[in-house]
Amino acid sequence: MLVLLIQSSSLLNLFVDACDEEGCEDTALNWVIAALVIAVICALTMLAFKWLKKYTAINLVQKAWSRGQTMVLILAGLVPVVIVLLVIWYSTRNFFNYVGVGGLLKGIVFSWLLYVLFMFTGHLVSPWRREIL
Amino acid sequence: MRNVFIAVGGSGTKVAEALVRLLAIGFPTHREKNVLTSAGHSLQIWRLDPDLNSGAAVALSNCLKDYQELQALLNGGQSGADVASSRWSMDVDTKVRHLDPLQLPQSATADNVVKNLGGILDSRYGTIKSSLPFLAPFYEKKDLEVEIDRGFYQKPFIGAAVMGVFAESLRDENSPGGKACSLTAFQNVSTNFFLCGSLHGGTGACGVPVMGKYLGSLKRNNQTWDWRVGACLLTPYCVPPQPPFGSLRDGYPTPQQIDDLAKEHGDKPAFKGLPVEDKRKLVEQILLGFYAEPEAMEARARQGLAYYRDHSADYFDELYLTGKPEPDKLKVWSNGGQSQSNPLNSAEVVGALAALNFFSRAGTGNPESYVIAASNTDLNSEKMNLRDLPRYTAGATSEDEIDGEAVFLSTAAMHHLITKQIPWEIPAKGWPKEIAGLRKVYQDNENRKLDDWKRFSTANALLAKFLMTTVDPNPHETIGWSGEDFDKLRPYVSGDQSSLKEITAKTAKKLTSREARGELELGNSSIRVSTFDFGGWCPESSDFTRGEYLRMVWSNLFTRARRRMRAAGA
Repeated sequence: MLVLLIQSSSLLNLFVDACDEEGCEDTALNWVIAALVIAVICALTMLAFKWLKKYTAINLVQKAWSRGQTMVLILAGLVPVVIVLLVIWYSTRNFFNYVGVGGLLKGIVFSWLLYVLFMFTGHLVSPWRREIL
Repeated sequence: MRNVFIAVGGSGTKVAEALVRLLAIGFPTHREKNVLTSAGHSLQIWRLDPDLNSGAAVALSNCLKDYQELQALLNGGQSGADVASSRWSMDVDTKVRHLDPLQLPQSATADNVVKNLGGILDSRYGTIKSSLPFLAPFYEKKDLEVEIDRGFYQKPFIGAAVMGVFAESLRDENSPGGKACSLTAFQNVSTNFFLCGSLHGGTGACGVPVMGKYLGSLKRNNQTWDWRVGACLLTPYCVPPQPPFGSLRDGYPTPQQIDDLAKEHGDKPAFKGLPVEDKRKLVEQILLGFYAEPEAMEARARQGLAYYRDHSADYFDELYLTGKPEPDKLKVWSNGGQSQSNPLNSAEVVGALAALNFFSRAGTGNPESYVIAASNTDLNSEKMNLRDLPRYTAGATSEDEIDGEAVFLSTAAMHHLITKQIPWEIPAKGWPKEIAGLRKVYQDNENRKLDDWKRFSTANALLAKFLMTTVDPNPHETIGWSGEDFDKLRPYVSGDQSSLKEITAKTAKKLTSREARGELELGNSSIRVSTFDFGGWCPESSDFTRGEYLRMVWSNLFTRARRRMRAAGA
């Protein structure tokens, strides 16, 4: 339903540089889905990393995370988002040809926003909310 | 429980200093709500010494200032004017009551003004008549004339007469001594009176039996008061060097002799800072033989012990004897006053432990018998370690046996855990569940957390100072310690990164359990504690004071140290 809604709007056009040929909208949709999936995977990976660090903490100081540390973790997660998106964009012919550099940048920003949203949500619904609020 | 420590002379004053140090470090006297502590009991220090400004008195005063600061940092805001109070350790009245045996009542303005034996014996008050005509034949002229406001120069035959007059004056509540003691405030109050002085000195040798007899007879006449009178007698545990020049074989020195010697030795430590007239007096005292003679100490101590056996022991509930097989040799000669500032001796720490044993009311065993030897035979008294200290009991059961080494280790470990293993920099609401007790207290009161952090840091710095300076092998600080414990304690209280890393690794938990990876060690004692164990220790009530929290952590650490030792010994 959401996909259909996105497809019917002109929102997808934002994520491709050139959309003259038939099927470019599918490419744009795939690009958006790729950005979404990567954001989710990266957020889950970073949350899992934090859980592991806390689980294996050998003392109270290591176990307590400050807001600053949490922010650094979230910001650090932005890097793999870019790298994975870049790799996928470059290795997929359609993305490289139709999404172009402009679409890539827009995709990165979109994925970052989603990633940050997921990270905040992940903290807010867990006992870690005290570390971010 | 009220405790009164009566420091008689310079040695007694040094033991008082050691006692304050041990209380600050955390040595307990009883168990309260399953926590070993000295808090809740009180201590007054009386000082019986004609030398009001001796180096030992100055050192005691400085030590009490630090104790007061420590207690102020750890209490919940309430504090008396002169009482250093917190739930960390015993309430100590920081105003030392100076009982000056030369401050005696007067019948006429000329009585008890001249501060020498002749002047005192020639005075009267109340129904007391001048005793000079009867006693003068027993003394030489120089004994009657020498000024005694800096002590009795290890001449008990001078001090005994003065102390006898002083003890008699205590019966009058309006006399200077009676006012200073205010013994009416102790009537019907459970009190431990503990006297301490040397057997071989002047002030201690005659002051302890006289005061003990006075308090003991009061106690006998008032059985319902629940008083206990104990004493620690110090045998020769350090000997002073010879004075800069010897005494005359006989006769009196000429003014020219005195001037020449005052000029020649005027810049030596004992003379430095003295006005010319005082330098001349000191030269005269030495020439007349009024100074501590190291060779005579042992004989005097033996005579002192015989006196206790025959005349004095019955007045005491407990008598402790502390000494060293080989006395330590002091490096700087002094004849009293501020220049006599000897470093703290390990024997004085042992004397302070005797006081703690007495205050804990644990007793020394069968009251009808002697209890001999607290230390092992291979003890090197010049280079002692904390493990050589005698143990005492601070409660009803053998579970409460207090080992000095374990106390030092517990305090050092507590210092590390509180300053380094609580995530103070992080808002308390972000602290992990393993430290939920403290988190609950601080999460809605970040200001209280920041204030406590600051005060804990300063208090722990003071604790570190007490810990380290009590066993510092530096001869300016202490005498009689090997330095092993000092070196082992340093990493716990120092902020250097390699020490911090090493201790943090030992208190780190194992991956699969809360158990610590290593053990904190000091000599024969060790504590296995992880920061996760430590995080679970918190008083039940949220309005606890810093002192209460510290004491709880300490008691938990100490209990673990003892268990560990028992397990190792089993």
